[in-house]
Amino acid sequence: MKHFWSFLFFLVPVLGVATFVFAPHFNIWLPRDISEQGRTIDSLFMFILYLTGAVFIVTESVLFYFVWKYDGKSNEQPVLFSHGSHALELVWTIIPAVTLLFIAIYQMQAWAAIKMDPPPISYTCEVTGRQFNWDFRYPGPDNELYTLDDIVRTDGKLYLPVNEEILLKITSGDVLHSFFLPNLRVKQDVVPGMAQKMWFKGKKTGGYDIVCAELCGWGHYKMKGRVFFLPRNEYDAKLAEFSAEQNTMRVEVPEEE
Amino acid sequence: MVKQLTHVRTNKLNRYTCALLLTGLMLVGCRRVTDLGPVANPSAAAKAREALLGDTSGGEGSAEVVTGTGWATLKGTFIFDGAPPEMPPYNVNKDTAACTIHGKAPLQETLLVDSATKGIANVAIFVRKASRVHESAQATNEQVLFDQKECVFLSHVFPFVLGNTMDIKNSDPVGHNTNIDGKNSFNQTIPVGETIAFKPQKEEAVPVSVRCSIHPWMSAYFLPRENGYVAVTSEDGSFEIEYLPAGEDLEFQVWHESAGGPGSSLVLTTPEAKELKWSSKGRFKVKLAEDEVKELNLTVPSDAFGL
Amino acid sequence: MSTFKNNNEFGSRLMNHGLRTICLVSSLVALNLAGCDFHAPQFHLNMVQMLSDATPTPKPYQEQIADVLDGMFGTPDEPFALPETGLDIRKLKMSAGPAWTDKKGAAFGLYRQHCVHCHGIDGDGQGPTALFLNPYPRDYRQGVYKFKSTYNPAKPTDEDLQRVLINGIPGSAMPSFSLLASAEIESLVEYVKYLSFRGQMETALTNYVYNDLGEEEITDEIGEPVLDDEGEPVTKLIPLDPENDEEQRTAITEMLAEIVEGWNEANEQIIVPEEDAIPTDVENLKALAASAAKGRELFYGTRANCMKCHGPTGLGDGQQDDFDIWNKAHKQFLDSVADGSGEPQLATEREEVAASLYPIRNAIPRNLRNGIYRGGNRRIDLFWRIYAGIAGSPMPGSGPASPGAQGTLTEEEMWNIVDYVLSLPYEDASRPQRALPINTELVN
Repeated sequence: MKHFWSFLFFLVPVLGVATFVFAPHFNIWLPRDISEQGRTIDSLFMFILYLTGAVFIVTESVLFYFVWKYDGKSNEQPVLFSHGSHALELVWTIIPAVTLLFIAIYQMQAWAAIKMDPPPISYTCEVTGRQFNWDFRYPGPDNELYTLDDIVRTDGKLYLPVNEEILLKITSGDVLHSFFLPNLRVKQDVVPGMAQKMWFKGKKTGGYDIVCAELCGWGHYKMKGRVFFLPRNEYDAKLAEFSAEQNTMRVEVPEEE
Repeated sequence: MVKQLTHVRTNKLNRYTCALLLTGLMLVGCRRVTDLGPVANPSAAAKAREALLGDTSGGEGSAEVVTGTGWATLKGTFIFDGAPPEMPPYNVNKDTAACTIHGKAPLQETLLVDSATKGIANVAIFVRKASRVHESAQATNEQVLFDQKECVFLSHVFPFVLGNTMDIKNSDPVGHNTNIDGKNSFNQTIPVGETIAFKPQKEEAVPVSVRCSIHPWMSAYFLPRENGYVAVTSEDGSFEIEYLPAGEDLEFQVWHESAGGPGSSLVLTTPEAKELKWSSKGRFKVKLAEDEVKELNLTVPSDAFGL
Repeated sequence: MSTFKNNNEFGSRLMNHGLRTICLVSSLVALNLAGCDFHAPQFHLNMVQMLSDATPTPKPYQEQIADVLDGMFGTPDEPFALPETGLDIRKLKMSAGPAWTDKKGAAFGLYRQHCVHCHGIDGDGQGPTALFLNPYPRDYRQGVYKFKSTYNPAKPTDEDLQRVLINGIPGSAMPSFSLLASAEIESLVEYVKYLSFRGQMETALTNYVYNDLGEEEITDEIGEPVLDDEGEPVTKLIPLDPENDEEQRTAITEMLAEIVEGWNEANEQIIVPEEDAIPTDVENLKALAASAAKGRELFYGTRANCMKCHGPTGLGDGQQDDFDIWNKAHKQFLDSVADGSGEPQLATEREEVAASLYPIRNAIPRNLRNGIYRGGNRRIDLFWRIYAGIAGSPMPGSGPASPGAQGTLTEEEMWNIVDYVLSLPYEDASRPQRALPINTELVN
C-alpha cells in the first residue's frame, strides 16, 4: 500500500485523542475527588490537558502531512537537507516558552496551597512507609506524637476525621516511597531520613485507596492501604477503641466446639 | 541506488550477543533453587491415599511379640583405642569472672577419655523398645537435678525417665536460660541461685542438645526416655543397665556426641561389634537369658569419632 | 564487484528483518523450554532434612516419602487432606492452585497471589524474593510460629495466625493483608496450617523411615541370611509402603494423629493472664511509671536477665551469637557438609543442597528502643512474648513452660517488664544506670 506508514502513524493522534474522549464514558477517568483543593487541581489538569491536547492535534496533523508528502515510495528524488527558517524557529520557541511561563505562574497559588503552606495545626497522624506496608502512628489522647500513649497501627488502614484540616507527617523506614491519595489529589514522595508534610481536607465519608506511587522494590504493587474518613464523633470513638485495644490485657478463650 | 543511504547498519555480532544475554538472563532469572530432590509419582500417591483413606482399624496387628520372663543385666565398658584427645577450653567471651575458674575457661567435654583406664565418658546406651519394664526402671515421680555451674552444665549427657521432674538449677552468680531442643522444646530463664521445675512429656530417639542462649558455648545433651533402660558411661567408660526384660530381642542404641555415625550414633566395626551385628545406625541387638549378667567390653577405635 | 556488493547489502537487509524475529522467537522458545516452568508446580521435599547428618535418607525412600505425602496432602494445584486432619478442603481450594477470579469476583489461588513469592510453593520460606529479605520469610514446615498466644512448645491458634495476616509483622517484610475479605484470610490461615501439617508429616516420616525402617538382611527359604561373594549378608531396604503394610499404615495414622492433636489443642494452651495480677491503672501515669521502674530493675537484674541479650541500653546489642531453629538447622547441615561427614553416597546431593541454601543469619535480639514490636503492640502481645518466650528463637520465656508448671517470674513482674519495655523508646538512652547487679559488671 502506498501510504501505509503515513496512515499507521496517523493512528497515534487518532487513538490518542479517542482515548481521552471516550475514557470518561467507560469510567476510567480521574478517581472521584473528595477533597477541598481537588477542584483546583482538576481544573488545572483540565486546562493543561486542553492546551496540550490542542498542540498535540496540530503537531500530529503536521507530522502526518509531512509523512504523507515525503513518503519514500512516491519520492524518487534524493533527500535534501536545509538549515531551515530562523523566523519559524523563533516563533515555535517563543510561543511555548511564554505558554509554559504562563502555566508556571498560573498554578503557583494551587501549588503553594498544597505543598508550601502547611496549616498551623499539630500532626493528625504519622505515616511510615516500609517495604511493603504503610504504618500509622496517631498521637493519642495527649495529641503529641512520640509519647507513651501513641497509637500505632500496622494494618494499612488510616482513619481520619472528615471535613477537618489534616496534617500528616510522612516518613520512610527504608527506601523511597510515595504516599499517594488519588481521591484527595495529593501525592508526596517519602524520603528516608526526611519528614515530609502533607495536608488536605476530606469532604466525604467513606473508604478510599492509599497507594505507593514510587517504585520501591519488588513488592511495590502490593503496597496499598485504605483511608477512611469518619465524622468527628466516630473518629474519636475509633481512636478510643484503638487505644483500648493497645491496652488489651485479657484474652478471650474460644469455647470448645 | 540512493535508497540504501538511509539504512543504518548495526553490528551483527552485537545483536547476537544481545540475544544471548537476554536468553541467559531469562534462564538465570527463572531458576528455582528449591527444586531439588524427587517429586511424587501420581499413581503411587493415589494408591497410598486410597490405603490411608481406607479402614485402618482392621488387621490383627503385627507379628506376635516374643516375651520372656525374668530379668537380666547388661554392663560393660567403652575403651578408647588410641591417644586420648586433648580437650580445648570453652570459648568464654561473656561473664568471664563467673564463667572461668581462676581466670581459666573450663575445658570442653566433647570427647572425654580417662587417662588411666582409657574409658570413654558420656556414651549413651539405651533400649529402643522393651515389651516389659521392671518397676525399678519406671518413673518414680522424683525430682532430678540438672545443674549448671561456672557456665557448664554439670550433667553433660543427661538421661531422663519421663514422668519424673527435672529441677533445672542455676548455681552461678549470673543468669542463664536453658534452651532444650527437640520435641519438648523448653526455653526459660533460670535466675541466679534458683531452681525451675520442668516436666518433659515426650520421648526422644537420640539425645537432643541443651544450650544457653546467653552463654552460647554452654552445651549439654538431654535424653528423655519412657523407661529407665538407659545408661551413660561414667568417667571410666563403664555402664550398667539392670533389670532388663529377659528372653526378648532387645535393640540398643549407642550414641556419643562426637561419634561419626548418623545423628552422632556410635558405629563400631570391630570384630566384637560384628558379633553383635552392630548396625550402621549405631544399634545392636541382644537376647538375654533370665538372670544373665552380660558384659560387653568394647574397644572404640579413634576413627569412630572421625579422628 | 558491484553485483557482489549489492547482494551483500540485500543479504544484510534480510538479516535486519529476520534477526529480530529470530531473537524474539528463540528467546521465547528458550524461556518456555528451560527457564520458567509453565507446567504445574510440584511440592518438593525438605532436602536439608532428607540429607541431614541425623536422618540420611536414601533416594528410594525420598521417592516413597514424596509419594506418601502426595497421597496424604495432594499437590499445590489439587490439595487434599485426610478427614482426620480436620482441615476444610473448601477453604484450602480457595488458596491453592493458580491465581484467578471467577465471574462473580471470588478470588482463588490466594496463596500463589499473595504469599508464594516469599514463602515458596512448599511453604519453605525460600520463595524467589526470600533472599532479599531480612529476616527471612517463615518456613512453615516445622509448624513453629513465633507470634502466638500459646505456651512456647504449643501451636498457634487460628486467631494468632489471622492476627499476623491482618497486622503484618512490622520490622519485617511481612505486610498487612487486612484489605482481604475475612473469608480469604481464613482460607489462607487454613492453607498455612495445611503446609505446616504437610511439613511436620514429612519430618515424622523421615524420622520413622530412619528409625524403624532401613536395611534388612535378605534371608532364604530356611531363614538363613543370603551372603554375597565376600561373605557379607545381602541387604535390601524395607520399602515405605502403607498400601501393603498394615503396621506402617497404623504408624502413619498415629503420626498424623499426633500432629493434628498438637494443632487441635492450641486453644487449650492459650496463656490467660491471672485476673489478680493484671494492672488496673494503666491510664494513671504515676502508677505506670512506678510499674515501669520495677520492670527496669528486673530488666537489668539477674532474675529476668533481659539485659544480657537486649543489651545494657535496650538496643539489642547484647548476646548476638545464637541462631533461631531455622538457621540452626541450615547451619548444622552446612557444617556437616563442610566437614565431609555423613553418608558418602549422598555427598554430591548434599553439596548441591548446601549450595542452594541462603546465607545463615544470627538471631539478633530486638532493639527495644524502636518501639516496633513484631508480634503486635498490644500489652497482651508483649506479655505473651515475655511469658512464653519466642518459639524457635533464642528468646526464653519467664512464665511456666506449660500449664501448671513453675515460672521464673510472677505475672505481676512480667506486667512490670511490659510497662518498662513500652516506655523504653521514650527513655533517655544516656540515663545513668544505678549501681548494677553483679552480672553487668561482668559484661566487660
